[in-house]
Amino acid sequence: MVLPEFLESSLVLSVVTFIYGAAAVLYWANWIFEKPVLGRSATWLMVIGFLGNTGGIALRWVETYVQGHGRAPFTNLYESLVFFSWTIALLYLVIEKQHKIRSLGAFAAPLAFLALAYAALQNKDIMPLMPALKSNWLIAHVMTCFLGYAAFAVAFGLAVIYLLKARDKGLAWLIGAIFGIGAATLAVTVTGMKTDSFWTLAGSGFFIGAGGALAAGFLTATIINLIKQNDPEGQGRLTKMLPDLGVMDELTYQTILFGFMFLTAGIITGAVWANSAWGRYWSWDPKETWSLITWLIYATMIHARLVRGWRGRRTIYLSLVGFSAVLFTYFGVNTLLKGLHSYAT
Amino acid sequence: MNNKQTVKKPEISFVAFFASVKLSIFLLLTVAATSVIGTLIPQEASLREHYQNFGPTLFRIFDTLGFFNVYQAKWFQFLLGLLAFNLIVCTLKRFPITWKLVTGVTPGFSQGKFNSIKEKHQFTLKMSAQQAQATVLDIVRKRFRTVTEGREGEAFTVYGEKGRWTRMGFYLIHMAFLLILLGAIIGSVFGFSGYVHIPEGESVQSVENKQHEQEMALPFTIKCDSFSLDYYEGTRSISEFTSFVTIIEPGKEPWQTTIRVNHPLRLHGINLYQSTYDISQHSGTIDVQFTDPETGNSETVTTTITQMSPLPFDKGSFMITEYIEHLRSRDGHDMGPAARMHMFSENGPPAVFMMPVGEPDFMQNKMGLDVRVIQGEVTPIYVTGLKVTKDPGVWVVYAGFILILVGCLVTFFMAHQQLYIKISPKGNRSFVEIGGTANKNPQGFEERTRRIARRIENKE
Ligand code: HEM
Repeated sequence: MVLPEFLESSLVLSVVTFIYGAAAVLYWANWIFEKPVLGRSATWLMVIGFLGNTGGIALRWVETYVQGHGRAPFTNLYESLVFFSWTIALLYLVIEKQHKIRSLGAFAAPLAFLALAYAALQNKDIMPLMPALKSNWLIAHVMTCFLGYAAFAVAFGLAVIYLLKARDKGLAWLIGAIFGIGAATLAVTVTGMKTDSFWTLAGSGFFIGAGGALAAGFLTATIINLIKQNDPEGQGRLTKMLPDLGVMDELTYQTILFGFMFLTAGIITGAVWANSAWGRYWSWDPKETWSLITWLIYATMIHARLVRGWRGRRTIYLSLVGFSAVLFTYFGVNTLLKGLHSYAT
Repeated sequence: MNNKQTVKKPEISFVAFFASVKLSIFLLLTVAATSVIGTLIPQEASLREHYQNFGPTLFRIFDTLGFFNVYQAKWFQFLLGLLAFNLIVCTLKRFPITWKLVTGVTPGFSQGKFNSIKEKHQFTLKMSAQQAQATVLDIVRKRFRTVTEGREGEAFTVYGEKGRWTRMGFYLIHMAFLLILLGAIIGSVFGFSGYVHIPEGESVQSVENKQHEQEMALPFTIKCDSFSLDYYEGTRSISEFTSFVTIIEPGKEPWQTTIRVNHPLRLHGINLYQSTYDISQHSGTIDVQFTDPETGNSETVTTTITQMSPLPFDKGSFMITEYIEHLRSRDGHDMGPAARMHMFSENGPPAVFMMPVGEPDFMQNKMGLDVRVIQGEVTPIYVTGLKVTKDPGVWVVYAGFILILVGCLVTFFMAHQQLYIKISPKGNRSFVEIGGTANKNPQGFEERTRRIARRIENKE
């Protein structure tokens, strides 16, 4: 069977990337200008993007058969990122339908966009699977893990909205951290091309990162203070459009529970797979260990909430820590730590 | 100041300390934080590599703290033990209370509880209060397990309840966690893991246990009939490693089976995994051509690998001791298959040299003969590398896995729901008030209460 060229999965998915990007822009525009037509078109774009994303995954599945070694398309970094953006879009659309929180789209759509854009940088070749990866447990493992990760990503978006609505100082920390890491990464990549010295690299990364973090953090804190002075009651249009804090808090928590459930299932299916492939269900390899660390952080958050009655900003902060652990498990372990894990190449 | 409070009995404060959630939060975060160490310091590296990496001082500190083997370190296992102890103490302390709560009598409608519900749904029905109660009971009975009816002065009441047992859900998670730890302990005490390497055609009956450096006898003999490597069509990517084996158990007919990656053989509590493979040697024949440069006569000898054959022209004898599939040149270049030749003459030292196989243009002059290796018909003899494990704890761990998932479902997504309905007569109509509470996800249950209210309202 030969498919027409425009029906190539990678092409479809590049188009979907732009659709998610456009949806993100519209969600932001909707939030700022408050025009219903913007919101509705954003939702439509998101739905179209999601359908395209689904089609892309299905096409890739077909392509593996065309190449003669058919297998489910959930086995390498590229495919997992595509599936990741699919789950983010799905979860977001469900939440939007159930809770009518369009402002969440301003964070969920960019995440789906970023995941696909990052996927575009990965190796897209359909490689035949090495024997250890030929297992249904692996498929179950990837799907459950990424459902969990996507739920945590959506919960991250909800947490950011919570902080925005509360005009919380934590926002300054968050933006500081994001800019700091971004600046450090940029510094290391730029100087890394010109120098071999570890200390020059680490030094420039550290100082530029810290500088970026401080600057962005201070700027955000100042803006928050300014807004608070002008509008002590939080009656400004932008904040007023956001859902009630209590609703956000509960919804974030529910999303995290969903993610925790799937992360648990992901760790378990991974262990069962490892046991059938290597005869060991747990070997403390960095990827495994980091998923356990993530699990423990969210378990802590759940206890703090259920037993000690924490609500609001403190649990929101813990969920941010949890999400940074998710990111590190997914990206950091591969790039910064070397492990046995198959994605670590 | 109340003196009684400051003088706590020591055993009570001991229990209180080990049953506290503060301790579990502290322990959970400490385990998370210390687990990071083992991902930063590569745990599989050798002590020598660590020494080179960290220098003498740091090396000594890290070594004392057990950082090179964090997850097996005494203090790490102590932390896990504390976590388990914490859980056990808190369960023992809490369980009787929860049990009483869950199995106790149905509280029924209570005016106090009803008053404390903030959001209620109110409407009037065009029927008598008694009729209304019957209608309401009908609807509530379909949705709630335990339903009671009652009177509150003039008014009729209906109380519905379900999911009280879900308050036990977190015990399932906690028990599951203990089961997983228990399974891990059982595995490390009663289990073992080791490797066997079996050349094709040979068999083994025991395993070398890595941890205890001793030979463990297996309850059966395993013979490797053959080993095969399969490639994806038209590529050099391996699609499957398969060992074809015969199992010989005492008192049973020998039987044949296969072991593949991801498809281990499980037998008498012992698991055999396809782990590695190697080529021990080659068998087959190789044609070697010898030419006497003086006379120009040449003769081709077909020799079997590792068997001595006579050299032509009475020059002595020779043997191919080894066949190599990929001969590497000094710069790592793959030069294809090669044979290691040994030539012996009556007098003088033997000549040992490598010859590429199947390249008649390549010639070496040894002992007055031009030697060319024309071709070979060679097959490798594989050695299959099997990992052998015994882990009686696996099933306990798996039971924990299932239990933790069930526990999460119950704890996170099911709630103890209570519905309170009061129907007051109002002339020949009745005034209905509905309120609900749930111990989890109050918004979700609020939505459900609203639907039930609408259902009753439309029932006229
Ligand atoms: C990782 C292993 C875990 C440990 C060591 C642990 C430990 C504890 C401890 C010591 C308590 C205090 C109980 C009391 O004071 O009565 C507790 C309570 C609780 N834990 Fe866990 N827990 C773990 C995992 C979980 C998970 C994953 C959940 C998921 C929801 C969970 C849910 C709860 C709940 C709901 C309570 C409240 C008990 C109550 O006060 O009614 N636990 N946990």
